[in-house]
Amino acid sequence: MKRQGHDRDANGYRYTRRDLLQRTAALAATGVVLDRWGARALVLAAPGDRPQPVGNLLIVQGVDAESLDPHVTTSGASKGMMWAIYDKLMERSPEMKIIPWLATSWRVLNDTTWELKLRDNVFFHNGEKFGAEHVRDTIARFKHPGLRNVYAGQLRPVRDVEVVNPLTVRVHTEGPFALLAEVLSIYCEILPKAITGGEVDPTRRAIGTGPYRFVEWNPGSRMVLDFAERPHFSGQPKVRRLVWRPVPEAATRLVELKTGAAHLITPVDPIQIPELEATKNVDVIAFRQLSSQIVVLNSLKVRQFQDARVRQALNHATDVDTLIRTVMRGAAYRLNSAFGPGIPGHDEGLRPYAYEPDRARQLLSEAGFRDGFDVTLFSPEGRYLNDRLASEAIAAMWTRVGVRTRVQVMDWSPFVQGVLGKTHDAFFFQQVGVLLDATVSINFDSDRKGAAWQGYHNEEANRLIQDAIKTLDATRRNDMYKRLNQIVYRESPWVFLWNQQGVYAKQKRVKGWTPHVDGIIRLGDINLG
Amino acid sequence: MGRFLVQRLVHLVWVLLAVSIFVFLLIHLSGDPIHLLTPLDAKPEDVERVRRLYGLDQPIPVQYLRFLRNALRGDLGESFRYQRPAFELVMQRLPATALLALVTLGLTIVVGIPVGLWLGARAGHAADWVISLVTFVFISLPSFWLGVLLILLFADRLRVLPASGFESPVYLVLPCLTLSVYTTGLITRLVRADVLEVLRQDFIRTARAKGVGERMVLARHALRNALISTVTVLGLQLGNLLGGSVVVESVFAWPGVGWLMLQGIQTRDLPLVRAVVLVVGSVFVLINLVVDVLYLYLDPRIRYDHTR
Repeated sequence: MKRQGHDRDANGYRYTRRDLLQRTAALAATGVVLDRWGARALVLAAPGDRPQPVGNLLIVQGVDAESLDPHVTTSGASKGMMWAIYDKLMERSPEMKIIPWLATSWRVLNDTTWELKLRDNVFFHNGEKFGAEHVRDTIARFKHPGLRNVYAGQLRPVRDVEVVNPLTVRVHTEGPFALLAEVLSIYCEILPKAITGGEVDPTRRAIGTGPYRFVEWNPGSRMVLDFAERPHFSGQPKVRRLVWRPVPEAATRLVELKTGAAHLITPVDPIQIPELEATKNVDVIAFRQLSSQIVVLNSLKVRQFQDARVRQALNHATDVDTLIRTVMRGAAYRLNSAFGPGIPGHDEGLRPYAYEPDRARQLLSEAGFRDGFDVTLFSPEGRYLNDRLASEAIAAMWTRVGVRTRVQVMDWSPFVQGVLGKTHDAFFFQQVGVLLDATVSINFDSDRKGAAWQGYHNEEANRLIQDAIKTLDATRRNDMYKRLNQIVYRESPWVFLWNQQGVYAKQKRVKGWTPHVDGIIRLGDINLG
Repeated sequence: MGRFLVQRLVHLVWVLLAVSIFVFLLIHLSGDPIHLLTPLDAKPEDVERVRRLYGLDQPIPVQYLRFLRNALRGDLGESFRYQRPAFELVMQRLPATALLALVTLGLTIVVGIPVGLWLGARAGHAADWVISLVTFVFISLPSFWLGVLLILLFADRLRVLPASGFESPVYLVLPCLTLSVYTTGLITRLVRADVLEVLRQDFIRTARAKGVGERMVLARHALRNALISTVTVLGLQLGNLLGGSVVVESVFAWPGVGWLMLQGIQTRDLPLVRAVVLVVGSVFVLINLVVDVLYLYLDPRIRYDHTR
């Protein structure tokens, strides 16, 4: 049964005068159509191969955007909205491969210089033509210390951006900076001069080059985007209007989807999957997330953890498959090492530590801890799916082999203080891998001491990590990470658990959309069938 | 009367001052807010830089005095999360909450008072017994559960009402229903008890003795006397509702101040939480003031001016 009379109905497409004019224009056009901004750009419109976008697509997420300023937002939920409006220089494929976007190609000229070729005929929604100066000005803004951008440090190695010609820039770095393309494929949405020049406040109005243009944002209520009249280089959107709504309650999101008031919802609680699968017009899409769930062992705090055999013992003492089946209700994928699938250095050949409590006891006694020892496992509550439950189960498993474990549940802020201050004995943690190799490896580097670095030290690992960041050749870099992965697997400073399952649910009629493993929505060819 | 109002308004300032200190301390007691404002993969130097930009590097008393100085100029600060003036965000959300509160209150009055009156006059009858039981159940239902249940019934099963959001008056139905089940139950029980009490009093017997009709006895004498406590409770309820029901607004994704406050607390968005609390606190105090003034009309014996 379809709901009628509500403006927001999924099918509620109403013709406006503008639509009719556009349709008429599309029909009438036989060759060249002057675009909305006048003669500055001629758009070849062959009505046959470019059908007008139709319909309203409604996406319901758990939270709203934090801000309209793309350089200030950090959550995946906001980034999905931002990337519909703004483009980056590079993008990621659903499997996280770096692909050309506003930059069509790039190459390394020497140790400290990258050259980027830019896409021609790209226009901002306010009519500005995209070019090299936009790249220069945007990177300068991204790095500006007065901006509340917590990721500014990602581009700190960039010394300056040289405009070679309107479609070429050279990025000069302090020392070799191998991760430039990685960083630019996640951060630094390109802004028009109207924003970098301070003429338009980006927290009020969003102007990008993306497939959709900003219409309105009512914080906590809805974000409305319309397709940009000028076709996007990745293909013209098939949907006329996008509406994003935050609905914090999981049960409500589910009903919105079932009743047709939403087309795509996220996140979906694993307990809701059976009900959704039983719903006729709905698809459930599950995917393996990039971020890995681990227990970090702090050898600065617990002397026993300095011995690799103790750390291996805890990996053998943890029955990960049972945890996934029971605590996680199957909504997780076993992790074999610190570098999960999709992260450079991942090695399919490494076998996950088998659940062998006897072997764990043996390793402990070889290390000289036949009588076991006491340890506290710290866990947040409600931050990660079933975090507390999992921690309690893990504590019971460790206690069984003689490592008497007590769980201490903490609020997020004191928990993080303990992580950063490196004062927890051990903690249940999610390693977020947005930047892939760099964000994972820093946790094994006893010089740079990332958040999940808690006392691990290996000279070879340090060397590999530091060399990799300077190695501009991607294949060689990948080999170095593979080697690092093998070392870290053997010495196991963490207990490797799982990749969580990300779940979307959508109406069957929504087509042309693939989830990305980083959990951030890219609309791609999304359409209403 | 004039002096009374002035006194109460001065009182308001003190209440707000106390509340603002309290909120400030609570937020800081629950850990360093910067960790909820920044993601874990941010570099430490970026976190420290942003901490300075937010002013969170200053000692807490300094932060508070800065806030106070700006607040006196009418500037409640900029939300950390939304990068917009916190006061503006609250005012954008207030109308939705106010609408929900007023409709709920209206529903409560229209249903609760007549039913309570009717039950009071019929105390001990089967109908009284049954409805009293129902109202008892009503005030015991937790709203998060009732809200989800109503969504499942009316939005999912019957498909007659929208589940969440606020786009047109239809969207008011479910959240109002969820909220008013409790308030109506409460008011019905209160009016019933008061009417019962009043009906036993001498002046009612006198009224009946001088030949006033039963209907008139209830409407003029019993109800008016029962209203003092009802107005008090209604005032408190309205205050609560205008503070935004955190639970109901979250379940129905109602774009009001309750949900905004929840978001603010979850992300330790200090300026936002402060602004919500100050605005809502002011509204609460003002409603109490209105209630106090209403007493004057309901009970001519009450005087505020020549106390002591």
